[in-house]
Amino acid sequence: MIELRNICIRAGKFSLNQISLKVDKGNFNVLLGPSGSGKTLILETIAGLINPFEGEIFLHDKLSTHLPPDKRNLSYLPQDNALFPHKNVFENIAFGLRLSKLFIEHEIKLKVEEVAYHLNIQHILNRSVVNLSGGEQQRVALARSLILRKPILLLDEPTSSLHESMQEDFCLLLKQIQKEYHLTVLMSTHHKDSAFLLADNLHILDNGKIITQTKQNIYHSSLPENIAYLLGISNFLNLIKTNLDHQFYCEELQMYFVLSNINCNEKKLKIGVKPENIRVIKDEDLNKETQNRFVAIVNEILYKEKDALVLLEACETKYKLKMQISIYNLKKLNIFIGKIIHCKIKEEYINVIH
Amino acid sequence: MISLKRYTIFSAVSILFTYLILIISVFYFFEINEFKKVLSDNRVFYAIWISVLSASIATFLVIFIAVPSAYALSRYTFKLKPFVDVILELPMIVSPAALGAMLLIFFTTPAGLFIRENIIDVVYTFWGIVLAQFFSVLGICTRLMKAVFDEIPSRYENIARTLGANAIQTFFKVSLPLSKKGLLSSIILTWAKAIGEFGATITIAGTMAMKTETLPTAIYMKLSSADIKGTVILILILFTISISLLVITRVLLQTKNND
Repeated sequence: MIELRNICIRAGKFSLNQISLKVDKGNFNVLLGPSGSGKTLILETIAGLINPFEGEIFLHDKLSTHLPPDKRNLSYLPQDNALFPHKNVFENIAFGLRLSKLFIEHEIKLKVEEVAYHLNIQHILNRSVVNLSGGEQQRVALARSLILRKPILLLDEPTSSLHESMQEDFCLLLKQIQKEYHLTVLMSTHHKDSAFLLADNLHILDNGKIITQTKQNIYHSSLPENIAYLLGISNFLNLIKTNLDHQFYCEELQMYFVLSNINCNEKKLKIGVKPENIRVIKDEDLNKETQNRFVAIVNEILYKEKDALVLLEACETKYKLKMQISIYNLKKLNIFIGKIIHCKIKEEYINVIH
Repeated sequence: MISLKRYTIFSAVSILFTYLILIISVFYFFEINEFKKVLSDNRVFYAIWISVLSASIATFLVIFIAVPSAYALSRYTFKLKPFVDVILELPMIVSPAALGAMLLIFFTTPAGLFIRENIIDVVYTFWGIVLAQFFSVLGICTRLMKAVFDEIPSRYENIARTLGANAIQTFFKVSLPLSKKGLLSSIILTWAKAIGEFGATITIAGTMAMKTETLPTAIYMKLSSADIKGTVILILILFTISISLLVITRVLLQTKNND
């Protein structure tokens, strides 16, 4: 449906080289990358707003590299919505329909009202777009894109301007819309939670390269450190393979790990662990769980809504790690600052970093 | 030690008083009888009419070149862009008399003579006034309009393109409506500048009563004949026209900002 082949794009001093990307029909694809990595540039190139100086773009299985934006048969929702300030909500939504000259006024009215009803903005159709809230603006911009019934929808950071509490609702709305309108969606975001909530396929952009993965596989694959960090992996450990099968020596914790899931021929490797994949061993289980265990002192506890981020310091080496634990378990296990605890890394969620 | 705030405010206010002194001094010679006399003079009326008509035609012609040129300069990159950008300043850096002389010189060249004989004669005619005003304000108007287009973020045009508008539809449905008020105020300022044009006008069109005498050249002629009271009335007429236009521009810009 969308295919970029070795695209080279430049915007001022920033450039992306040899970018390739394939988006299959009917999927919800997320382009995940840190701010400034070039996500918008890629979407604008697909939309035809920026011309690549090398490479090819295929849309709907046709070479479309030099097609003007109005001939690409896709909709694009920019990060700032770009609602026309000189038109009210109704006229913003009807803009594309009026241009097409395919519908009479009555049909335009019906179509606008239908999409507005769908997005729950039917009550603001006569309002100026200037006075709308962030969420309302987002819905109006989405309605303006959807009304044309284009098969591809490009979304540039659609949740970035929304309040945290509204992000999840908007994500669910997007997913529902994608299914109902049978859309192929490519959405850019730097927010991993939105990405995981929505994506069938994840395209991770970092340092000018795109790595494509299904979200089920992403945590079992080998990742570059920057991408791992973007995915919330914030504990990194260097391991040295020993002569025993699946046994590794960890320099930072000065202890041995047995990692049966990792098949590595290299002598040295780096692993990444998400804070939620470090768990506390209960006192009664100390005799049972002896593998991959380390002792640490609790340095700090930062409370979130349902979880707490516990900053640990390995007793032996003073190496610092982050652990995420539910507040329920925090209380149940009586964890407090200064307490010495035994922790275990969940072997099945370890990522090899390259 | 003088604070920066006090010094800068003092500078700003001193500008007001500098011009206010000139305006007040004009009223020193104002006489109501002279005002009635000048207003009933056909020659003066004709000068006002010539000024308004020529400035309107010149502005109308300028719009057709300045709007697309300003848009191109604001939105596109092209080979001669830096040169076009510099040449826009020409009327500002070359004295109006020199600009008029350059026009006069051009119309004595074979190409100029061909135009005068076969298309339109502009030397010492009404069309000379229009031409002088046109050349004086074209650069300024384009510069003003370019600033207006620069203020309109291209993201609106981009989104219009993805919604099915071609480049021309985007210009007329998005760029132009969004810059409407800014362009209108540019046009008004251009007209005000054109009606006050003197140097180039007198050089190419002369100042023949009831033929090529505009309000600024009439002021010059009154002053030349030491008619201070008459000069004052003409200055006040020109001043009133210009100030009214500036006020309208301000109001337009104000509503633009409030939109």
